[in-house]
Formats: sequence, structure tokens, C-alpha cells
Amino acid sequence: MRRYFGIFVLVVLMSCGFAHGETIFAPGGIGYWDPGINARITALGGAGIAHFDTLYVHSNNPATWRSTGATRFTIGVDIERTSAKSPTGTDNSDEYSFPGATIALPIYKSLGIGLVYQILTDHEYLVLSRSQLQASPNDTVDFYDVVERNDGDGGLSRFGVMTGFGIKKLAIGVGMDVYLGKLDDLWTRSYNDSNIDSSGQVLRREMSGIGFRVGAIYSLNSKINVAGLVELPVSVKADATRRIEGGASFTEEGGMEFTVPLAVTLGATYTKKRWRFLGDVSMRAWENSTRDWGEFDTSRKYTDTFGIAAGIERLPSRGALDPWLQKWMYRAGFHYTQHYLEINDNIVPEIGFSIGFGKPLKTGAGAVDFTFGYTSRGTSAKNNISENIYYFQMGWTTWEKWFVRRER
Amino acid sequence: MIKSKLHLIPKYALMFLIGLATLFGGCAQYDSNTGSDLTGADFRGTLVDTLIPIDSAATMLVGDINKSASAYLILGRQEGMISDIAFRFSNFTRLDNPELLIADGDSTANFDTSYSIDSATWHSATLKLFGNAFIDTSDISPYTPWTADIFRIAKDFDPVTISYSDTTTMSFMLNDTFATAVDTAELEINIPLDSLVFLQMDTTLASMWDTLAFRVRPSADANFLQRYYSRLGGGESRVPVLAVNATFYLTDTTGVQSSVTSTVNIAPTFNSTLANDSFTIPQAGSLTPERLYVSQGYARRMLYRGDFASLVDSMNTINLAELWIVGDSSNTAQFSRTSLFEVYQLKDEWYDDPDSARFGTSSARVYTVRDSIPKIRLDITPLARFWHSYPDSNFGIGVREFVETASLSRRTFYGNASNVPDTLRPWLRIVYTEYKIP
Repeated sequence: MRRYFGIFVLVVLMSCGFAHGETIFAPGGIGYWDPGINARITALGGAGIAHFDTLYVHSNNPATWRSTGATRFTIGVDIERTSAKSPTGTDNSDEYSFPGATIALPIYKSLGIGLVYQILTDHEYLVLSRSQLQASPNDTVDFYDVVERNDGDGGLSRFGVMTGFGIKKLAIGVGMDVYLGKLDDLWTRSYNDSNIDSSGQVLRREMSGIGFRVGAIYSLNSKINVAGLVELPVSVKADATRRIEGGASFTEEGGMEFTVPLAVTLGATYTKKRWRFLGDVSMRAWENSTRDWGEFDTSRKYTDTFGIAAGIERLPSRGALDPWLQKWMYRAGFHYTQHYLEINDNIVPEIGFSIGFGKPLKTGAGAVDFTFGYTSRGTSAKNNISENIYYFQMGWTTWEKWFVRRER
Repeated sequence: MIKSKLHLIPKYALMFLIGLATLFGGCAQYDSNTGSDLTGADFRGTLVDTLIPIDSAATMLVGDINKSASAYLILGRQEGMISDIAFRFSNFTRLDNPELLIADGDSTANFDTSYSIDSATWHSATLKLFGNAFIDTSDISPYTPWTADIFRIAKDFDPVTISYSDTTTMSFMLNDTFATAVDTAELEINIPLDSLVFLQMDTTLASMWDTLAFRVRPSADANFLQRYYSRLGGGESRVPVLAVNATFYLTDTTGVQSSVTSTVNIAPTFNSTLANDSFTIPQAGSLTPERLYVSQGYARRMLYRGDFASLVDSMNTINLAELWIVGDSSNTAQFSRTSLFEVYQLKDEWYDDPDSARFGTSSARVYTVRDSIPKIRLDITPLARFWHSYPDSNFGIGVREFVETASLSRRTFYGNASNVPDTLRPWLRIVYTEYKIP
């Protein structure tokens, strides 16, 4: 661990102060649902709840903590270039983000326990618009420049405690998640004249909630695993403060409620020789989520989301004399999912492709994973808004000697 | 055996590249208008830019104000304005100082404190004024001779309250004829000695002189108003003085007697301009478009009030509040147009009796008025925000000259009566932001 401590620190510092990225779809609800996962899972399109081994754990399925052979740290960094397009124009953003981290500890026999930090939603956005205000009534010559700014910050994150254990071919895991987050929506209008006071308002919601999840993986045979994961609905309470800036101001305080709805994911893996195929299907019942945000979200329709993830992985060779390229892992993946808010009365689809590779660490079990991907969100035809994301993700999974599973 | 570290190169190269990217890259955000459709119209404020008519406007007459602290005294009559000067001389101790005795025609003092002044024979007492400039040169009649009445006024008058209308303690002393306006750079008024009251002789000459108070008033339309230095603004050589000329009899310490004829200047202990304005504001409702007046010296102030409480909801915020007023630069009632105004908050109702208006806090901003740009924009945003929070405190604003005592002047602006065209009447412009109330 000490060997990689510098890398760990560098990764955390590289988050650039933002634990979230930015997306044009961030406004609305609790932000864009975009859970952070490690580089390996990302390369596989997000699939993998049915796979567990001694090296990797899936941060969503606690059953994958079952087979941790030794203490594992997984951490990563995400670098994105996003291009957005809407009827009002195009814009680009570059982001470093820190998607999350996991720690897996073997405890006793097949019992493993772990901690997860995962970003769930992205509520960061910045929209600027410019206009003019006449300097005097009926003035056609002199104007004040007016800048209007819509600024969003924050998002929802999850801190989870996972535990998994195995009974013969069945691995079961349960997890308790603490949901924490802060959402800020800020609107300001300012003028390029010190005589004119700016105005604005901010809505801050500080959220918290506790949720539970149950996962299971069943090995049909040595090649096929099937899995199921249920994330129970989470009631997130929000302390909301609304403040109007400039001149007369008031603070509106009150509780708001939001339900992160039930989610069900089914997955399967098929492994033959050095090839592994993974696939997940997920559904989250957003239409049933209760939300009491006041008037700021009533104009958007929530819709149930459906997702598919599929990936293929080339496993490393175990031959001592094989070339070094054979000892690496190679991956490719595809995913399709949807935004839980309808835009322009249409669903917002997200389609992504990814490729990646993993390099085993020479100094012990562990790996460095790299992923390159492209994701498209929304369509100009149906949503009037679209986004193209090009990203690079890097992750480390380390092996530590704190706890080593002693098989008896 | 030296262990090769070549295997560390990829790791450190990667760390170096990442560090470099962190330092020189950074995070760039969306910062254009892209995605504005998604930010939620409910959460934006709506900008409202509206004009509100003034519901009350009037001229407040303050009248002659205390100008005893001014650097200048003003004397004359022009375009209805008349200005007197009042003096009080009560400190004659210079008459007891032998060091000030310089023989007429000589330039050096020949006496020191070893001498004592025994007595004096008084020859003359002359009031001297030193001019600065005309108030308004555009309409003066430079070659018209003019006269002034000189009055003795009660020596114990109150310097705080004395004003032009305070005539009960005046007694006529003499009428003096002066030269023409162009010769008013220096004025000399001879005070008849027999009109002076000398007290019982005491041990000093100063104690012989009773306090003297004079008032100088132009007795006919001199068609000018001249500015003279006051006791505060003239420096050593140009303060107004009472020049006392006498033959002084002295004795030195050895008992030798001598005499000298000398002039000793006595500075006033008080001086002020007392002003009046015979201009009459046209009656409200007359055919001419209503006008409001603001003036210096004989002070007038303009009062305005607009009520926007019903228009701007308490949830809204005020970005800008301006009072637009239009000057009537061609009006013949204007005199010596000055160009600096200040805005004050008014503290009570004044609508039935404008002269009873109470001025409160100043906006601490001075507005320049130019004839070439008759429209003036008065920023009252901080006041408007206060009224927005406390509507019952909105009694409007008062506009007055920045320094009312500095000169004599008169300026006109259009009022808000129905006979004033819309483009000329005052308007309150309010720019505010509406928020949706949850």
C-alpha cells in the first residue's frame, strides 16, 4: 500500500475539487443518474454483477464481496471531454472526476466485508446567457449588459457497507447505504453597472437517507453465473433552504422528500477458457418515486428507466513464458440506458461503447486498468438536446496483506 | 548487484503525465447558453422594466437660509433676487495695540509694546468690502450707477436666526451712492462718526467702542449681484473690515509723548448674506405647464413621491430605481443656473403642505445638471429597496442644491400636473425581478 500511496494521493488530488463531472442533463430532479464505477466495469459497459473473483469486486452487488482473497483497494479517476448541443448553441466541458472507491476485506472463510464510496448523481451545470437592458426609457443607444447565470452544484453520493458470504454455489450479499448529498441551484442576474443591484436566488437541499440492497450470485456450473440485485427504495429527506438575494430576501425552510426508487438488476456471465462474456439488465421504477420538491420540478415527467450492459473480456495467460501482452486483460463493452426525466416529452437515451485493458501489477496481485469510451446522450430529433462524451478512466486495484483469507 | 529500476519508468512516466495534465489542464465547464432550456423557467426571475408616474410633486419654500458660514457675501439686486449683507463688529482690541500703528503714507510700524496708547482723536470709520465675481454676468447692466441704504441693526441680533425678513431692529443710517457695476471690485462705505456711540472712557480705547452692527441693502435694482469675500474666505488681505482712522497719542516708558495718524482695520465678528426673491411661482392649475423650482440662497427644494408598493410584490427584488426629471432650460425664471444637486429621503407627509417637508438622510451622491442635457437621472435604488421592505416609510424624496448657501440661483424643472406633456413630466423607473412564489 505504501508503494502506491503516492499514486493514491495523486488520484485524490486530481479530482480537481469536483467529485462530480458535468452534464447538460444535470438540472432537474437530483441530477443525472450516473453512478461511478471502476475502470474495469466501465470497459465492460457496466456489466458484471454476476462475476466475482479474488481480484475485483462490483461496487453495486454486495455478493461479489464473497470471494475476496485479500484486502483490496480499488480507486480510480475519470477524465472526460463533453460536447453538448442544443438549439441555443454548442458548448464543451472538460472534467476530472473521482467516481468512487471500494475496500474489500476478507474476514472469515467466505465472509467478506467492504466499504464503498460511490457517486450516484451529477448535479453540476453552468448556463450563461447574455442580454441587454436599456440605460433609460426608450433609449436606443445606451444599454446595460446583463448576464444571467444558472449554476448547479453537488449531487448524491453513497457510502455503503457491504458484506457477502457463500454457501456452496450461492453467494449472498447485503449492504447498507448511507445516501448523502447536497444540491445547489443558483440563479443570478447581474449588470455591468455598479448602480444596478444584481438579483438572484439559491435553492439548497441537503439530503440524507439510508437504503439497503440485497444481491445474490449463483454458479450454475464452472462457466456460467447468474445474479440478481435488488436495491430497495430509499427515502431521502432534504432540508431545503431558499434564499432570494438582493434587496428584500427571505429564507424558506422546510423539508422536502425524494425517493430513490426500487431497482432490480439481473446479470449473467459465461466464461470459456480465456474469454468471458458478461451481461446485465436493469430497471429502476422512477415513475413511482415520490418527490416533494416544491414547484421547481413539477414540469418534468419522470419515467421508468431500463438498461442493458454487455461486455467481453480476454483473460490473462498464466503461462510463465508467454509474451507480456498475453498477460494483460482486454475488454470491450456496450451499454444502453435512459435518463429518468423526459425532455421534450421524450425519453433521453444513453448509448455507450468502451474498450479497455488491464495490466497486472508485478509487485503482487493487483492491476491497473485503463478504459477509453464514448457515450451519447439524448437526440437532437426528439430531445432537442444531445451530448457526446469522450472519456478516459483509470483505476487501481491493489492487494494488501492486512487480511489474507486462510482457506481451511 | 545493482537492481535495475527500468520497470519503474512506465509508472513514474504515467504519474508525471497525469500531474502535468492536472497543473496545466484543469476543469473547464459549460459556460454558454447551451442547455438553457433545461435549467427550469420556474427557477429564473423575470425582469420587469416599468415606468411609474409620480403621484405627488411640489416645490418647498425654505426661504432665506443662514449663510454666515459661507466664504462669500453677496450684495445686489438682479432678476427679482435681492441680497443684503449684515455685519457685527464687537472686537476693537486692535485699537489698543501700538504695534499696529503705521503712519499713513509710511509702511513700517514705529511703535512697540514699550509704548502705551493714551487717547485718540477719531477721524473716520469706513466699511470696506473686497469683491470676487458677479453671480450671473449674462444680464447685468454694467454701467448703471446704483445706491444702497445702510442701516444700523440691533447689536445683539441672533446670528443663527437672522434672515432677510428680520427688519424690526433696523434703523436707517444713510443712503450711499456707488459707481457702476464694473467698479464694484472694492466698496467703501463711510460710517458717519456722529452716528457712532462711544462709551464712557475706560482704561483702553477698545472699551470705548460699542458693538456696531450694520446692514447694507441695495435700494434700487442694481441689475447685478456681486460676490464679496467674507470674514472666513478673504484671507488676511481681503476680509471685510471697518477701517478706523485716528490720531493716536502715545507715551513711552520714559514718559516721552508722541502721536501718529494711522488706520487700524477691525475685522467683523459676524457677517452674513440675507437674501430674498420676489419671483412668484405660478399658481397650480394655471395654463402654463407646471414647473418646480430649486434655488440657492433663497432656498427652494423639489419634492417627489411615487408609490410602487402595489406594483412590486414583496417577494420581488428591486434592481434599479430611478427618478427621471426634465429641466426647463429655456425658462426665463432661471437665474445663475448651478449644476449640482443632492437627493434626500423625506421623513413625513408633505402632500398638503409642501413647506412642512422634513428632509432626512442624503443619498451622498451629487448629480450634475447641464443645460445641454436637461434630463436628469436620480438613482434612488437603495431608498427604493428600503421602501420596498417598509412601504409605510415611503414619503418620497427631496431634491435640493448641493450647497444652498454657496450662492444665489434659481432653476426650473417640469412638474407632474396634468398640463405637463408626458415626455416632460417626472417618471419613476423601476427595474425589478419577479420570482415565482412556491
